[in-house]
Parts: sequence; C-alpha cells; structure tokens
Amino acid sequence: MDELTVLLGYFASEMVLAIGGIAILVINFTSPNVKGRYLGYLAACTVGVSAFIMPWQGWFVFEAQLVRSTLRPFFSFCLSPDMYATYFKFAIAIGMLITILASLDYVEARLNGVSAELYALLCFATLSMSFMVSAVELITLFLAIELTSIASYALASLDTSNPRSVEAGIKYFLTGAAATAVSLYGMSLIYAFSGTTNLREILNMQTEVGAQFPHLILVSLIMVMASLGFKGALVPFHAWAPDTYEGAPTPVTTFLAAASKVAAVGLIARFMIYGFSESLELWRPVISTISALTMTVGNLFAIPQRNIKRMLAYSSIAHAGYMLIGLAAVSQAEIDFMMGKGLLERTDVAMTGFLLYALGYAFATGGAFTVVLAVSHLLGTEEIPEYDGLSQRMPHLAWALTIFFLSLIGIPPFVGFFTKAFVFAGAIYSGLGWLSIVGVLNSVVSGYYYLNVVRHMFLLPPKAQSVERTAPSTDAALLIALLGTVVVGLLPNPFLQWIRDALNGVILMLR
Amino acid sequence: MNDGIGILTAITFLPALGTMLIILTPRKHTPLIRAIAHCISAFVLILSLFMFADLDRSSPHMQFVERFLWIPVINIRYYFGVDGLSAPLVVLTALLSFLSIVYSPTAIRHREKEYYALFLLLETGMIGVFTALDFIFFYIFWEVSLVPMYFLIGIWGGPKREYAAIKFFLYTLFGSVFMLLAILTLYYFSGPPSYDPTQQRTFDMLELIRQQPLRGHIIAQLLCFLGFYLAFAIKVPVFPFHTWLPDAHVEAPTAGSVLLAGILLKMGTYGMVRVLLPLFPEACSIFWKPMAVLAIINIIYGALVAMGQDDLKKLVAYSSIAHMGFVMLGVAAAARASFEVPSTYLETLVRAKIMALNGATLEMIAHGLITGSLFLLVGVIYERVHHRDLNSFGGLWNQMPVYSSVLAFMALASLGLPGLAGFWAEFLALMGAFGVYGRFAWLAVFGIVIVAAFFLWMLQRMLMGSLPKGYETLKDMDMRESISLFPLVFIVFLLGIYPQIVLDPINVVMTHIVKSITLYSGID
Repeated sequence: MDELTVLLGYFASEMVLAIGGIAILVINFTSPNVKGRYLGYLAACTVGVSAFIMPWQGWFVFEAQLVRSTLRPFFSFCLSPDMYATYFKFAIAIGMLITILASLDYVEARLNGVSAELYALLCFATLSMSFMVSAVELITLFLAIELTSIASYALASLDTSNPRSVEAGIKYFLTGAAATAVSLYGMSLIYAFSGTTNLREILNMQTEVGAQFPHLILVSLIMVMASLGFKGALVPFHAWAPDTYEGAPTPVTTFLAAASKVAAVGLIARFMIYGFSESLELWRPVISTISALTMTVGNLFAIPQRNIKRMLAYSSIAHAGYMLIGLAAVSQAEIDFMMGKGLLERTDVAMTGFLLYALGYAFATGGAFTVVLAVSHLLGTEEIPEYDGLSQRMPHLAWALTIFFLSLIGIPPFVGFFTKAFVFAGAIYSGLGWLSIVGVLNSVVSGYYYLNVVRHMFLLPPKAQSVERTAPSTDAALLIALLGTVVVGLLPNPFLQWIRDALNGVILMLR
Repeated sequence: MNDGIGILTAITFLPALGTMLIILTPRKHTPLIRAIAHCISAFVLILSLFMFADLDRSSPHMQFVERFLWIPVINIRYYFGVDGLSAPLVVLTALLSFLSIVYSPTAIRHREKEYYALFLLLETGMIGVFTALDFIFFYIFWEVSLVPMYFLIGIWGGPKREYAAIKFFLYTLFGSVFMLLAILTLYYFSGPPSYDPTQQRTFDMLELIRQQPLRGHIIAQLLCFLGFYLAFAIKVPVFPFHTWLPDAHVEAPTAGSVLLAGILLKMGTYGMVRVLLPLFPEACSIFWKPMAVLAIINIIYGALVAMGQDDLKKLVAYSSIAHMGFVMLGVAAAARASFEVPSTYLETLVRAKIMALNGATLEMIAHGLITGSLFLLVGVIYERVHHRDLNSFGGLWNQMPVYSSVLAFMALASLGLPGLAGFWAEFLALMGAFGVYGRFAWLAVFGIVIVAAFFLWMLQRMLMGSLPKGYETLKDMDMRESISLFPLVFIVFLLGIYPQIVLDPINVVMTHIVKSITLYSGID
C-alpha cells in the first residue's frame, strides 16, 4: 500500500468531517441565501458518513497492523487511529448525528442567523473530539482538548440574543481556562520526571520514578485530571455544567451531553491506562473516589430540578460517574490485554462495560435530548411540569423518552442494563464492592427523578389538548436512538466483539 | 435436551407479541384492541394447559428445556425450562392474566390501548420469571414485570395512585439491584458448566446449584444470601419490607391488584424456593431462625392489621401478608440445617421439611387463586357502589345472591376451610413447621384463628343485616364478571378435593430440593 492509501484509510472519517465543515462555511460564504436547513442536512450527512465508515476504518487499521504488518508512523506517533479510537469516534459521531438531526427545526426557528456557524462548529468539534480520543502524546492531547473546548465555548454562547446563552459561554470559558492552566502545570510536571511527552515512554519511565517519587506522579495526575474532569464534568470539576447546560442553546446542550462527555471519558481512560497503568494502584483510589462523588452528587442534585435540561445536565454528570466505575475497576489482566499481552478471562468485564456504557449512554442521552428539543420546539417549554399529559398529545415522544430513561436507570432489556451490569460486575471482581453498592443505590435514586418526568407525561392530565406533529428529521433521530437503545440491549454480541477488538487494539499502535 | 425454540418461548413471548400488535393498532379501534388482548391471553392459557398436561409429573428435572448461547462474552444463555414447581405457577399466571383481561372492560374505560399493551407486557414479565433458568434472564423478566405494573397503578389506579406507583417501583428496584450484585458475585465464583467446558463461568441457575460455588466462602455466601433475600422479601413482602403493599394493592386497578397479589408476590416466594434454599444451604442454616420469626410476625401482624381495616380492599391486602407468612413459614422450615438434629431424627426432619415446602408451594397456588378472586370481588362491588367502606355495607345476600355466595365461598377458602384449596396448603405448611420447629409453630395457629375471625366478621358486615338505603337497585354479577370468577371457584373447589393435580409434581420437585439441601449442608 502506498502512503496515500494508508493515510486515507487511517483518517478517512476525519477527512470527511473536515471537508464537510469547511464546505458548510464556504457555501454560507459564497451563497448566503442557502437555507440553514440545507446546511444542517449537509452537516448530518457529513457526520453520518463519518460514523458509517468508522467501523471499517477501525478494521482497516487493525488489519494493516496485524495481518499485513504495514503499519507506519503518522504524525510521529502523536495520533493513534486504532480501534479503541474508532470505537469512541463512532460513539461520538452517533451522538453528534442524533444532535444535528434533532436540532434542525429548533435551529431554523431560533438560531437561523447563525446556523452555518453552528453546523460548521459542530462538525469541527466532532473532528477535534476524534483527535481527543486518538491522542497518545501530551501536546497533541492538549491541543485536541483545547480545540474542542474553543468550539464548545463558541457554541455555548452562540445565541447572542439570549443573555443566558452568553452567560453560559462565559462561565464555561472561565472555568475551562482555569482548568487548562492547572492541567498544563500537571503536564509540565510529567515532562519533568519523564523527559518526554509520549505516553508510552512516560509509561516506561514510571516504575523507576514511581519508586522514588510516587507523590510526584499522583500530583501531576490529579492536575491533568482537572482538565479532563472539566471536559467530562466530573465532580468536583462540574460546577460549570448545570448553568451552561441550561443556558446554552438546546442543540449545544445535546452536543455537550451526548458527544463531548463520551470523548472526555474516552480520553481519560486512554490517558490513564495508556500512560499510567504502571501506577494503577496509585490512581485507582482517585478514580474510584471521583466516580463515587460524581454519581452521588449528580443524582442528588438532579432530584429537585424543574427544568429538564438542568435535570439532564445533572443526570449526565452522574452517568460519567458510572462510566468511571469501569475504569476504576480495570483489572491487571485487562491492562495486559490492552498492552497486547495475554487474554481476557470471562470475569474481566470492567473495561468492556466502560466502552459499552459510553455507546449506550450516547444513544440514550442523545435520544432524551431529541425529545427535549422536539418538545421545546413544538410547545416552547423546557419545564418539567409542562410535560403533563404528553403521552396523550404526542405518545411516541412520551414513550421514547420513557424508554431512554428506563435505559438510563438500568432497567433491562435496554442497553443501559447491560452497561451497568458490566461495570458493577467489574467493580465487584476488582475488590471494589463498595463502589458497586454506591452505584446501585444511585441507580435507585436516579429512578426517582427519571420517573418523575414519566409521571408528568403519563399520570397527570394534559394542560392543553393540541396535538403537534414532529418533523421527519426528529423522527429519524428518535429512530436511531431507539434502535441503539433497544437493539444493542437485545443483541449486544457484535458490539461486545467490537469492544474486545478495540481493547486489544489500543496498544498495538506503539513502537 | 432441545436446543431450539419450543413451547416455553411461545408461552413467554406471545404476550409481548400481543403488545406489539396492539401498539400497531390505531387508537380508535378499541374493540379490535380488546379482541387482540383476549385472544392472545386465551391462547397463552391454552398453550400453558397443554404444557402442564404434557409435563412428566414424576420427574424432578427441567422439562421443555430450550437452551442456547446468547451473549458468549459472559456466557449468558437463552435458557428456559419448567418443572413441577414452576409449571403450576405458569398456568396460574396465564389463567389469572386471561381472567383479568376478561374482567377489565367493565372497569377500564379510558386509554385502553395503553392498558392492554402494558397488561400483556406484564404477562410476559411474570411468566418469564417462572420459566427463565439463566440468572440474567431471570433478572430481566423480574424487572420487565416492574415497569408495566408502575403504569397500571399510576394511570388507572385510585386517588393516591402516583404515590403508590412510585413507592412500589422504588421499593422493588431497591431490592432487585442487590439481587443483581449477588448474581454477579455468584458468576465470579462459578465454574464451567458441565455441558460446555469451554466456558469459564456460568449464570445457569441449575448449574450453579449443582456447583455450590459459595461453599466455604461464608462471607460471600452471607452477602449474596442477603442480596437475594432482600429482593425476594420485598416482593413477598416479609414484615419490615411490606409497607409498599397496602398502598399498591389499594390504589391499583382491580386487574392490577389481582396480578399483584396473585402472581407478583409469588415471584418472591418462588425465588426463595428456587434460588435461596438450594443455592445457599449454609447461609440458610444460619438464618432459618430469623426467617421463621419474620414469617410468624407476618402471619400474626398481617392478620391483626387486617382485622382493624374498614376498607375492604385493604383488608384483603393485609390478609395477603398473613397468607404469605405461611409460605415463608414453610420456606424457613426447609431452611433449617440438618446437622443440628441427631441423626436418628434426620429422616423425620427431612419428611417434615418436604411437607412444609409442599405446603408453601401449594399455598402460592391457592393464595393466587383465592386472593385473586377476592380482589376481583372487591372490584365488582366497587364498580357498583364506588366505595369500599365495610361499615356502609349490609344485607347484600338478598340483593346480590350470586355475588354473595361467591364472596362467602372465597372468604371461607381463604380462611382455610377444609375441602377447599387453602386448607391443604396451610395444613401441610403447619404440619411441616411443627415437625421442624416444634412448639414454636403454635404461634402460627393463632394467625389462623385471627384470619378466620376477620373474614367471618367481614362476611357478617357485608352480607348480613339490613340493606342500606339506595342499594335496592344493585344488580348481581353480569356475564363478564361471572366468566372471570366462576373458573376460579371451580378450581379452588377442585384443588380442595383433589389437590394431587398440582401436589404430585410439586412433591417430586420439593423432595428433590430438600434432599439436595440435606446433601449440601454437610451431614457427614
């Protein structure tokens, strides 16, 4: 294979995203009369195509390195387009696809003046999140985070007519800047003890350094976690999330919850395992504490919320906590497996659960926000009491939202059950039984506020009788999210197989 | 061994198929929706009767087995089968679901499409709990039965329905998540199943019972036992966990109460017999005394509180708690370890345990039939007078003779009149309990007296005396109500004079279970 084929094969979806994003800007610049809606279709196609080719891209890389051994370094091993990355890119792109399809009506009605910017920024954000989950070098990683963050700041404050949107952007930006500064300091510490920015080389230095200065590693890790935790809205770096989620235009909130969070946890896991698995016992308590805190705080604060965006903001904080259980519970066998040594036992399920959780979460949260967007567009409200009697006015929206919520609670047979079962199982098998107990108790608590919305939709009489029809694009978004939530739950085998390959492929990109 | 799809798949998933059909039917075709619900549930009942007729009644092993790999990564199997314990419960579920659907059109007048769709989904969940033999599937069906019941209570329930629905949901969810943790722990300790040595672990219930993975890991065993016990005890409900039950039963629509009392409570006791006893013999031998005490409390407390009720539905609900106490009494009797008694006494003890478990299982069936019909009867009178206050009734015997006869019949059956189904169940459970506990079991007899007292008092307040004003126009049971009640009357009578129909297969399985417990709990 020549260089060009390989390059195309490795980065096909990224190229699609870049071209699509630029095309939207160019079209808007050259012919301003094109309707925002068509730019939205273009963005949806771009993201959809990139999601569609992602699994094949993963296989291409997998095959290139395993079967033909023709793997070549790209960008000096700063980016690793392995199957782990493509899996997360797929989850991100799916979340993004649902976001864009669900937003078309909303954007046309409320953000028509900036639709080109919005869609282009969404494409670029997807691109930069793809870099986030494939970065294996500190500077690249930092750049990817910043690229995503800047796109997100701009997106959050896009609705300039609404002061709350501007406030959301400012808050997001200020906390983000502080987090970035702290994490840069952490990275410089890492460089100080290892003399390199490549994660693999950092890993190799660790046994030596760790024996001498275990606290140095811990401190630098915690500092980097500040930035990563900020992107993933992990407690205690979550304070920006509720205000920003509520104030930002709803499509942007959807993007932040469904896609950005997935990218952040994907990055955290890669950073921790790829670069610091030698210090596993050092960071396992940190991650498990953050996980327990994140779940508990997210769920408890979600209970009193009356605004559904704010409630979902806290619930998405909580879900990042559940996902981190999988990372905190990673077993030595899994790390070895990810390093290309050894095989997985039938009890090594923590990371499998982690990856499956990210995908299942993207489907369910994306779907839930689709309903929120549709209701917000049709009824003009985001307050939970206004959802009264929705099941009699728009039954398909009400039932879809119920299914997404049941999946988020972890009720079978939806995908959320299996993801939770996997991470809890992983926690038990790694001796973190307490974390699994915190997890299940949190699931019960979350049942209360999710069912509160269900109560409003089904148990209370409608406040108005009008029946509205949803747009075909919304229906498409709902269909994708429902298919993901139900089918991945009932027939998870292909996905589990993909996850196994993805885990196996992480480290194979190394020298 | 059949490795393909068979009759159990049909019985389990036909109702879910019905749910799909109803969802696809436009809302305005109400008669068609009703027809689908009636046909599907009737068909499921017929299939389950065929299954029961085909059951090999002398075999303690699983029959009609369907098993194949579903999720290889953690060896979850699509695994269904029934034996003498679960087959009668499957028939009971199909029967009560069908009769409830027959009854429903008299009470449910709005949002019928959602009602029947959810009702059939609930049927799938309930049957699946009894037929699934893989722990993950068991858990899935356990939870699947939870969601429709939430909606049934919440949408078609009484005045406090929202509170009752969420309370029911959260309580049960709270219990079941610990069961999930226990299941996951069991998986960790398990070994390869005998039929597929290439797998390292298994969720197969029978295989886990055979392997006794927690033998010797006493801490893990105690924790897992408690996880399962919590889930089952909340469902049964056992005394301190029972507070959801009066709310849920009283607020649920009639058909919901029937299934709640008739089937959902049995899921808990079924789990105790199927899972707790054989899987955790050592933990059982530690906990049998608290279990027995809680069972006695259930009987006496339930009966006493029922006696204090003026609300007919609450009375029946609390009588359920008392009756489930008898099931728990039988289970606790079987839980007692054999090594505590001298070996000369062992044979007697084993016989007593078998008898107690037979009684417990028969009580599940009898209580399902009897309390199910009592809730239907409550619904019948409530639809006519729109209240359930016992003090405002009187003299119904002259006004509604058919109704009153059926009510009297079922009340007598419930208090354990010899010759009706409830008698054999309580008799066997008590006899077995005497054999195991000795004098301690006398306490339960007080419960029987109180149950008899409040049921007779109820009959007196409702049927005797003079008819209150305005009740002269009350009509007796109509066709639909009769069709939904008379089969139950017949079966309660039949099981009273010839209990062997279900007792034979039950006895075979219980003997097997008790023998295996005795084996595992280490008589050397």
